[in-house]
Amino acid sequence: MQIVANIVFLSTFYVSFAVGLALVFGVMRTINFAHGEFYMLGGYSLWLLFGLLSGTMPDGATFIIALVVAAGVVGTLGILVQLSIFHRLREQPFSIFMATLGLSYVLQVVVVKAIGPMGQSVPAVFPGFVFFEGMILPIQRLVVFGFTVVMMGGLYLFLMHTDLGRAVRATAQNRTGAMLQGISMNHIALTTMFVGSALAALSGVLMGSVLIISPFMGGEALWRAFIIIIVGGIGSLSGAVVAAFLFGIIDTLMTTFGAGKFAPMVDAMIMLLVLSFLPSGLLGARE
Amino acid sequence: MMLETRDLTVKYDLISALSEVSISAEERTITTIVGSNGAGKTTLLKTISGLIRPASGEIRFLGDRIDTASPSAIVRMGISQVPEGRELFPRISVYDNLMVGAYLRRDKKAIRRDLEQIYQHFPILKDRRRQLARNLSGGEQQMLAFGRALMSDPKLLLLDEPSIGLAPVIEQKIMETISVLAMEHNVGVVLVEQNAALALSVASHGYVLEQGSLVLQGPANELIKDDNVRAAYLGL
Repeated sequence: MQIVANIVFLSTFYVSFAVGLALVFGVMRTINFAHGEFYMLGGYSLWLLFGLLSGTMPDGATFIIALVVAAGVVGTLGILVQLSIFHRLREQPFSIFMATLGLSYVLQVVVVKAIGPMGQSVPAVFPGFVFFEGMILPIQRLVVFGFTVVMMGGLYLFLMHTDLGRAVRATAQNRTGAMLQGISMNHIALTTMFVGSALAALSGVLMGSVLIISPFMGGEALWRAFIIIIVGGIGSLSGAVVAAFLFGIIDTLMTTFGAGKFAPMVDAMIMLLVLSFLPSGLLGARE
Repeated sequence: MMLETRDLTVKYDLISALSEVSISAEERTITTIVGSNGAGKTTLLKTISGLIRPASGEIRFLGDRIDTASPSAIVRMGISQVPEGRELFPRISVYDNLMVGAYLRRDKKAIRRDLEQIYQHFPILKDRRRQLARNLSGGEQQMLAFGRALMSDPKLLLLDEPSIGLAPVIEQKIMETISVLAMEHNVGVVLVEQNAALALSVASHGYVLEQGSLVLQGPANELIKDDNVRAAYLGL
């Protein structure tokens, strides 16, 4: 049973991180290579706010403030990336690749210089454990799980039940069709970059409360997210969720049975296997 | 005059796709542009919708210049297009496709009313409103593209080959609906067609486009009797 709990925790982390990247790629058709660093900045927002506010208010309140601040600040950073990189370099995919990759290194170095290369951790905001059916469940992890579910629910409501969300989905499926309905591509790009970047930051705050926060935490998360969105089907959010659970299961099982260090290799092999039989991924649209 | 292009020239790289095309279209009237494949018909409609920028010349809609306006601003002014290939949103529902058509509108009540009216014209869209657009047949997809364009409550409707790939019965049905809607809603229609016989039979004014230039224009009932038109486009 403990394995099930571990699978759920790991999978929801994969979901929370990969969905933002899948959304940005699905709408913009470009990859933001600084997405991992946006996640890292989310982690550091939590750490910084803890240092600033600790003792002045309950830790739970600090946690909530960190979520709001990180989403706002990093979402705004996403808007700046849209205005300064994606919009200016549109239709030059290689330049966008180089510019966002450069940005990711710059953000890493800024954090190393300002805070240091060492990993940091934040004391548990919600300490303690729940014992249930033979499972040991850290309360902090349950809270993270709960917030991830709320975050995904919010994204679902936005995309499925608002006019703007519907326009975002329409644009991802057919840009020309969307332009002919009067949807402004700039408006949709700004919205998508704000939401996608804010999701990365929220994921960073949530995971920063249970993992070590380091300037380089974004890199590994990004490559894992690539594998997830490629296997799920590029641009498909539901595919990303399915693939996140698939890799959550595989990686947890491998770690449990002592083969954790081979997980990245096995994941990459699964990706190649899926691509050779289903070139557009598990739930990708055939275009 | 509702829509007017004056000496409109469009270039792809250095090659002219349209040279000095001047057309006009009125409200409550179907104006057709006929011509063979590659004559520049689709380019003309894309330029009017703001998807392509002209190299020179101007486009006026209700007196205002629109040749530098954004596609979004052009839809807001009241020009809506049913594009070549339909350009539907394949993985969202029929209902969602129609509602995206009303994206720029905020008058909820009127949107509901227009939706009901489209369902009345095309009951099949109501029956299939929850299905994904890609699961519709070709004729149903054409009706959906048409309905979506109407959801923006346009003053001018641009139709790019609405009959392509459709069975003659559905073709007729679409053309009839276009005529009815133009009259009922005071909408002006610019109809681009390869099927010149069909287009000239519903239109009141026509233009013949050849290799990017206008070669002939006049009332549709005269064009249909013109020997050159009959030989080149009607196969008579």
